[in-house]
Amino acid sequence: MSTQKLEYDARMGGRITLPTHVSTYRYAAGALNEIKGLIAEALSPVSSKLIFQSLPKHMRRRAMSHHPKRLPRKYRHAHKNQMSKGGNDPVIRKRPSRKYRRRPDNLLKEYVRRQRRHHWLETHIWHAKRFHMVDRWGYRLANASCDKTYRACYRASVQHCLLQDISYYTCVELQGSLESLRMGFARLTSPECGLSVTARTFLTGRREGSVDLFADSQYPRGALQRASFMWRPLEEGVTFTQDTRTLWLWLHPSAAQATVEQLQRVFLLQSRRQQTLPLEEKPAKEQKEQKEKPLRFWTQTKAFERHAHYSNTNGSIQLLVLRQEFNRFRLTGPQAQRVLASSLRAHRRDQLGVQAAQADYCEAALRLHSPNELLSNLIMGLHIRTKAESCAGAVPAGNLLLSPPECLARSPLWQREERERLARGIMSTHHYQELRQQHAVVPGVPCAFEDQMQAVPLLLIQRPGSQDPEYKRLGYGCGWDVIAPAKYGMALWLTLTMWGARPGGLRELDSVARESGGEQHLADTLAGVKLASAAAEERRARYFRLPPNKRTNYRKLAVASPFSAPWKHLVRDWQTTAATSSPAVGSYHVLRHRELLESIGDCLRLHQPLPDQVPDDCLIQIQLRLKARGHVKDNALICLPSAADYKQRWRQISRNEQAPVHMEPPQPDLNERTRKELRSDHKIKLKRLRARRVREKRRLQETATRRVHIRPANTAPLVRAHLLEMCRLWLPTDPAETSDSVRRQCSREVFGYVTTAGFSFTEATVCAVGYVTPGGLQHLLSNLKDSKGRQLQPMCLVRDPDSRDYRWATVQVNLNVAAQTF
Amino acid sequence: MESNAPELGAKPRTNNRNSHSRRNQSDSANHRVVRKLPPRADNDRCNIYITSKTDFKAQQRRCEELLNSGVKEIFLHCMGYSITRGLNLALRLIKNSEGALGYTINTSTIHWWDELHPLCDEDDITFRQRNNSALHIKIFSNSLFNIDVPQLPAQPALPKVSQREPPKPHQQQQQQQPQKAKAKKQTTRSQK
Repeated sequence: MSTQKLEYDARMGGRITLPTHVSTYRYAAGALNEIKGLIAEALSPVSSKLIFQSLPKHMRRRAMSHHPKRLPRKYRHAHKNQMSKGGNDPVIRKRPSRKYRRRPDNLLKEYVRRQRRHHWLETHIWHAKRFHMVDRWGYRLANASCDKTYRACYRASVQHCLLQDISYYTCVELQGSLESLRMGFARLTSPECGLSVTARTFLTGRREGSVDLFADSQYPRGALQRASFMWRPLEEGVTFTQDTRTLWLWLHPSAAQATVEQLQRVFLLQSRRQQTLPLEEKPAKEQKEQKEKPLRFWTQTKAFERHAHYSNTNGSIQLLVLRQEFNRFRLTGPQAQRVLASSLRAHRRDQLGVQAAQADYCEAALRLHSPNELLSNLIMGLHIRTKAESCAGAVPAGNLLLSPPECLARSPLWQREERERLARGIMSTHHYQELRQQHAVVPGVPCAFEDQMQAVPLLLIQRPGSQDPEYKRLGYGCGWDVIAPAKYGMALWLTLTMWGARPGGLRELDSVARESGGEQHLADTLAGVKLASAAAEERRARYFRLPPNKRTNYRKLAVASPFSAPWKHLVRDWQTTAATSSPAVGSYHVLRHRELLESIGDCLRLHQPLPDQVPDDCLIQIQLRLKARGHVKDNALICLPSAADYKQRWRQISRNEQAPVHMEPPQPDLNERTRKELRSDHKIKLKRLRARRVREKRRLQETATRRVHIRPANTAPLVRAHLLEMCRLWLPTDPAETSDSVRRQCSREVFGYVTTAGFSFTEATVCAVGYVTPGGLQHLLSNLKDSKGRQLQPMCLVRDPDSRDYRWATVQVNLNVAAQTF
Repeated sequence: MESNAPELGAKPRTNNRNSHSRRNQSDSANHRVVRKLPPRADNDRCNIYITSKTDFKAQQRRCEELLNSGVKEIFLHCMGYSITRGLNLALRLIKNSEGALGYTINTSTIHWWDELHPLCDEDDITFRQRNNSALHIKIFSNSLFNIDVPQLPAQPALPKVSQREPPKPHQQQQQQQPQKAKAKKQTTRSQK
């Protein structure tokens, strides 16, 4: 046992002499260092273990390293990082095979998962295979066909039939006494914009109306949207002044939420999702005790509500948001008649009932040449046989325009139970095809079992199209809207497309509106403002994606606001001095007062000064038509011509010249030098910083034994600040900063902006829809006499934001701004 | 060149500025007149509806192309303002054809219903009748090759009586005969 045991202590013969005492400050300093180290360790644990190894035992699972989902969620990301560094990446799995993915069950699951973020329409899958889809207003909607169909869709809308799915419109059902509804809507609408909701012509339910909605008693400001509405027709044997009436409002989804909130506020409605109800107690044993007891309440909360339901305290007014309860298809064009006539087979339960009368009238009406020949905004109810083939028509009865049957607009679609029954009783396509295989001997011939299938009620709503032949060709954009119950959308859609309707998307809605000389969303409505700001964002992003030598220099072109129309500042600049003192600076609205618009139109035609009642802060919608060549894009400037321009015009006409009437003289760009300097400074600074880091690294490397890496740059904030500064220097100064910055931004005075522009096939020239200020229009009218005293046609100059050319365009006031639905 | 000359002297004067305002004034203050599209006879290729907006030469070319493509007759429908233009067009077509085309003219009256849209909530929509004169010009090619020879009624096909089958009872044959007559009619219709 000769173990050589080394001694430690000097007293025992070792090497180390332990001190007899320890100085406290030295001890404290040591302890301090230790604590610092511990804290640093705790803040950033450097562990050689993997994440799942560091978990406590009870949280570990089998095969954890392979399945990140077995880890607690907060560790998954770190785990993924660790595993991907090791090279063996268990996270990226192979995509399941197509066969697996296409199994109906898995496919449907996938569809449900994808619908979580955006709602789908019923025809979504059909569209997704053929159209470019966009996310709009909480839905995933078809924008334009993948084929080149722009011109074909125009032709369809003017000669054939264009079909669009607008089921994303939200239907809101309002129920209440007529008087209270009238009072409520008086706060939301204005008689100046046209007929109100409770006008007599709409109350019977015979026609669909449309109305401009504003925030509660804020007219003319606070425009929400233009909504169409229809009253539930009275059933037989009920007098006209029945107490409760039902109204459907069709709201655009961009402003539907805001409108419903306004309706809640006006009618004092509360959500029925959670309500306190008095507790129903068992029949009292002793009467005395109950009197003493205070009333007790309980809260009823509905876990799932299919349709949001609101009502006021005594339940006399009910509001139901029927979202995705109906399909609404829009057919435009004269051939819509034939498409509908051949695809809808009327169902008659008996020969002399409501259904028969409706069917007779419908068949006769659909035999006319154009939908425009019928009563405008007529509503027709109809029962159709589903998926059935043709049958003989009935005799047309009398004058269709003057004597529609009383019961024409009635439809069971108004009843909730009926809608539910329809949805329940639908026969699946598969089942139907199986039955047909069994029963149909000859293909295409109706079978006996088809008579037993339930009839589907539809509502057909006529749209008259253009009604002002002086503004736009009579009847352009006429057609039908078809309202079908939920779940029947796909069948109906396929039938309509089979009979030759050309499907279109959102782009076609815009182009039809532009062709008919208007706009779908006015510049002051919620949807209009949102769309404009989105478009401005998009244009700005595109501008800065371009390399600097491809960017338009808007400072040189003297354009104040290149990406969006600065309505506020335009109105501010054109306000007369008396009005600028008013507090409401920076607000604007579109003029919808029909009589005023008519008088403005008369003034333009007769060269008289504008009437005095025109408010200063309004915008007037006009249609511009380019006189000669040239193109106009969205957001172009509308300018006042000078006397020299009129002279130049005559000169050009006599010489048959096509050059622009005036070229904007290029302005100096004062920022150009600054930008160059900024850029070079920035580059030099970055280089210098890098050189510093390199030097630092070299210095470290001299003394270090291990390999030294260069310090990370950390210049992201610096670069971002530089980019922002550069953007500021590229763009012209914000019009809010200086007064008169919009009106006098270039060599001609600007009095309006174009919102939508493009080549119009109906007019065969480039057309644009824009808004001008009344002050500018007044200016235009007052300078219409040339030096020889000749009357000149009121025309204005139009210039693209990225061009120097001014072109002539004629001006026409749109009278149908309010209550126009496309 | 002459055959393609633009229309002269028939263009109605549309720059009468007061016409519009006068029309507006004639309406009473309670409603707004909304016009509707006139009814059409048929919308196929051979029926051409003349408007005063469409280019005259374009209309002429359209008619000529139709006639050259082998259509035997076309109908020009014109109404009101565009009657003169329709007449001009027809005359131009016939003159250019050098005797190959003939024409027939019919006049008629078209009954229109205008809608009177109310301007205040209390009124309901009302209607107003208006008449307009119209002209229907049939232009046909009177070349000899195009004359329709009326087809003689085809001989009724004899019922096939096979030798094996026993002769059918008399009643059945009676029933069959009207059916065949119907079938004959249908065939003659389709030939037309």
